[in-house]
Amino acid sequence: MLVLTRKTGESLRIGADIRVTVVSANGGQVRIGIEAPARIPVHREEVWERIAAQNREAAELSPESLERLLRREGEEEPS
Amino acid sequence: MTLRFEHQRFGEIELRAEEVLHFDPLPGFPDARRFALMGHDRDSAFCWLVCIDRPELAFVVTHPWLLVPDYDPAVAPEHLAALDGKALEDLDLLVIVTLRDRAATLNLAAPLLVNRAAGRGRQVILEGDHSTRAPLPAPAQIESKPHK
Repeated sequence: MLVLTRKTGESLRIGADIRVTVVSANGGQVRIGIEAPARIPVHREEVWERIAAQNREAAELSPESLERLLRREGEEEPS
Repeated sequence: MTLRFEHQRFGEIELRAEEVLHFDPLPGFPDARRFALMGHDRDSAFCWLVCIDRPELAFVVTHPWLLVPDYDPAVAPEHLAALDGKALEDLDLLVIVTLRDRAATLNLAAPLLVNRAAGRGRQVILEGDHSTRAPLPAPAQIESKPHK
């Protein structure tokens, strides 16, 4: 990992169109400002990981559970 | 122009170029970029998002409002802009279904936004309090509609 030291108010650039600024640092907490194009989503790591874990679980489709989902759908047809 | 590929679950699939959806990387699947939507049958509320780049990968997806009529995803304007949509109505919004044990749940916290005309999609992580595992309502409450 690249590690850089920045003071409050200083920034760094990632490529041509992303700027990360240290807004404030207090005790163990750092406020970070991010300017990035709309096509680049920015998320807290733990939020991203929660969705990643859910996606991985959703990708594990057992044939039995699918069968159950399809049967479930079949039940509504008579109504 | 058509694209032909072999999917582990669906066998040989042939797609027209305009059916291919280019996704921004999904959390957890950074190398899965090209997908296609396939209905498993015409009248089903559920359809498949099949990955072209990883032939073992597929998701079951559904239109959330069939199942959760009061679902109100606040999609930030930059996501609409990134998909060349002016409003949410210009785009398809789908949610991923997780099937585990005996239950199916919906990921309402991170819906998929798709611009079919542009062949583009992304998974949007919503701000606010949406469940990644919202239970499906009882089957009797589900109104099945053809996949549009």
